[in-house]
Amino acid sequence: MSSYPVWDDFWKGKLENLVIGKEIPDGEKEVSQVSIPTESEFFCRTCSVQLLTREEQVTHYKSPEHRSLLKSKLRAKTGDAENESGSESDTSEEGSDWSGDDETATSANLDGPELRFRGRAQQEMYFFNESKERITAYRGLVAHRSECLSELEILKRLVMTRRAFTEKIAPEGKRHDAILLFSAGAFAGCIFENGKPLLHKCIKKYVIRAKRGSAQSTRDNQGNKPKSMGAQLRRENEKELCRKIEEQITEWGATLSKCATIFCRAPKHQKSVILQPLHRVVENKTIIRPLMVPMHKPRFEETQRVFQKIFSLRIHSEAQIEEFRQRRSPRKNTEILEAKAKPKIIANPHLDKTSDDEVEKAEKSVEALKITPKKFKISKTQKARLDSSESSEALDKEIRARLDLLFTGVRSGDVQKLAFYFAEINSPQEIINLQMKNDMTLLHFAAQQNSSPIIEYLLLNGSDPTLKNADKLPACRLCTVREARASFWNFRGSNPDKWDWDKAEVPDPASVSANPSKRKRQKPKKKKKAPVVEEKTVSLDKKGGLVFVPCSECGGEINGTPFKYSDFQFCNTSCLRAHRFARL
Amino acid sequence: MALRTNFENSNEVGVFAKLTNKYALVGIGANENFYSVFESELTDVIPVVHTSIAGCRIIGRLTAGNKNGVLCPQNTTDQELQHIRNSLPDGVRVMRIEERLSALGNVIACNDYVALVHPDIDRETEEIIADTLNVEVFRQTVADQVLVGTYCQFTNKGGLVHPKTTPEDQDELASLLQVPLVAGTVNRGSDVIGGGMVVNDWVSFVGQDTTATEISVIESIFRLNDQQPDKVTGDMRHALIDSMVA
Repeated sequence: MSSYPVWDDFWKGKLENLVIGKEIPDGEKEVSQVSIPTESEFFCRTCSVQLLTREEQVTHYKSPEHRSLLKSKLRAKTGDAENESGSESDTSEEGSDWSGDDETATSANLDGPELRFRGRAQQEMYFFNESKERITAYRGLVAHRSECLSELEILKRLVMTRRAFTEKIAPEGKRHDAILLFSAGAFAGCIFENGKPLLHKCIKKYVIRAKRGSAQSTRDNQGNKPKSMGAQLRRENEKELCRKIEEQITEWGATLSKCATIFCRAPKHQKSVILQPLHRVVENKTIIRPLMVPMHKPRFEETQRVFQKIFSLRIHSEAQIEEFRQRRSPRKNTEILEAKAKPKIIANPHLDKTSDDEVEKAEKSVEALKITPKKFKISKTQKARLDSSESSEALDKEIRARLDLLFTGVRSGDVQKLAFYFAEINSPQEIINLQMKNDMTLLHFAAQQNSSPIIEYLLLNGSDPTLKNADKLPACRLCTVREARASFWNFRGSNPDKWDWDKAEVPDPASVSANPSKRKRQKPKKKKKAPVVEEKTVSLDKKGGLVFVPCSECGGEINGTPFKYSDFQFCNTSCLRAHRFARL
Repeated sequence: MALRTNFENSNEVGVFAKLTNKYALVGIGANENFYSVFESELTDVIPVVHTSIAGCRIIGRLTAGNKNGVLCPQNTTDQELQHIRNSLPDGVRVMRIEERLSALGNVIACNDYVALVHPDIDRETEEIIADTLNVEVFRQTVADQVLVGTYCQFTNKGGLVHPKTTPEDQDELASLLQVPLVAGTVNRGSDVIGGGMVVNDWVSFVGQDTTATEISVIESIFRLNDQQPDKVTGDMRHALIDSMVA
């Protein structure tokens, strides 16, 4: 990429037949700009879309695009009302460009285009010339942020800017531009005549707190103002600086008003220091533009550098653009290749599509593990994986289909459905312990759903409760409800030797029923005044555990103080509501 | 026919009553004046139901409905719901909906075929509205106001919208609702159209303060007197402008 000032001879002839943006000829661009006629019967003014039929209208109004636009429009309206006082741009100025080409420009009518250009206007504009070189220019060079211009208009202005410099067509053959920089207690202003510095001034004051940074006024705005000597000095200096800047701008007033562009940079809370005097001397507010390039300390040299930078166009040859495009894609490709080449030992071979050599690698790695002197014990899960990894790819798919069926059954929460699927597929016991994504088994999913019948069914059919998921949790730990956990320990009660129950983290049923949830019991003990649960009505629940005061709705035990109405007692409010409003 | 009435000295008739082609809901007041106006006008044709919603009298703002159904906010009690259900004719669905914007009368404006709703209303609520009231639901604003139920009122024959609705917006709304619309006021210049009046296909009740001009606009756009709505824009407009100039 190379960049040259606008007035450079390099651009001679290069700015004549430019093509805009996506290589659309100038003529066509103008046609596409025609505003939407509002005479048609069906149209949406929010989206500025013309609709042909009633059906189209109805579907359009229900489309997500229309809705999001409507919402953002409303949000913009409420937002604008708040921001209006703070914005530096003149709102009446914004409308001027549009009232020209649209006769029925009401305030509401302007919303469409404003919305489209809402947010930050595009900083840079691209044009292509005949030899397909891309020419880039700062939009701020020729247009204010608030001006809604087509690319064609910007191009026209750009060419005019160049002519102003080269052919001296501006009034009296002089084009003026100004750069005003204000930051960190220093102000640098420079007015250029045909690209050469005409007037310049640099003012520096001690206002920034040493070592700490940030101006004294910033500190003062935070609340209590420090009264130290230094603070007072800086405060006075800042006032002095602001006064001097104002004086300087007023002094330059005559020249500034002749300027074609004025680029300003000031700290956010001190924008008014520059803008207030500037607005007094300058009539056309659109020539005052924020600086769009980064800057260093405000000095005379810096103003010159910034000026050069703003008033330069950059050119990319076709080859360079192509290079940019390709620079990314090969890297992406290699990344993908690398990712593919990595052996997936951790992944489940029977669920992921794996090639044969990957399986081989996995086997090798496991073999290597066997040789280690520490007698590394291969876990059951790894064994299960190993066994299944030997299966061919075709079998893999078939297993997957079966597993999907079972998974559907589990997720449905319906035991009969699950039983149906079990009957349908052949040898369900084989695949019941397979681990899916995140090493989850079917039992894990069932436990996650807290569906005790499914858990019971799976356990009965040989599901392994000791298998752990990616978080190293066995299925029982995933239950959030006591009932679901109960199905685990009940199964342990009936089959005490089938699995390693301690590893499955399933508690002994005897110990569980005797002390239901220790935590809950301790709490009422601490509170001395807490009412002791009545032990009069003791009944047996299905599982043989003792239940104090059964809930009138669900029959379950009541922990803590029961919820009551008339003579009924309930374990929770939902039971109470269900009981009370059942007959209504 | 447009009748002037008031609810305990308040002109906001639309706040305390809901009128559709199949039924009328009237809030419970301290005296029966308001109710009896409705009763005397409608009793032979449609049921007039005395009710409250969540113990409030402002039922016009809390409920939304048309000939197909009525929507009540979540805080309606079971008793009230049962009462409404029992009093309304068969075929009118009564639905209680969970919606954050609980003043349904303010956020929903509807006739028997189309409904305008607040742009922020829940998607589920929107579906319930469409199913219960049997209408096409559009999220829309009226004169940049999101409370569509408050600032417009329309029937199957015509509609009255907020006086500050731009002509372009009126055209768009009219094409959306498929009925002629006019921007106007009630109750001597009040822009709260939905709160100031209730209307169905043959009768309208407006606040006591409503001027004769406003009544004539209402009668003509809602075709309550067999008048053609183009009179508003035609000869009557001249009369209106004359009176304003003079």
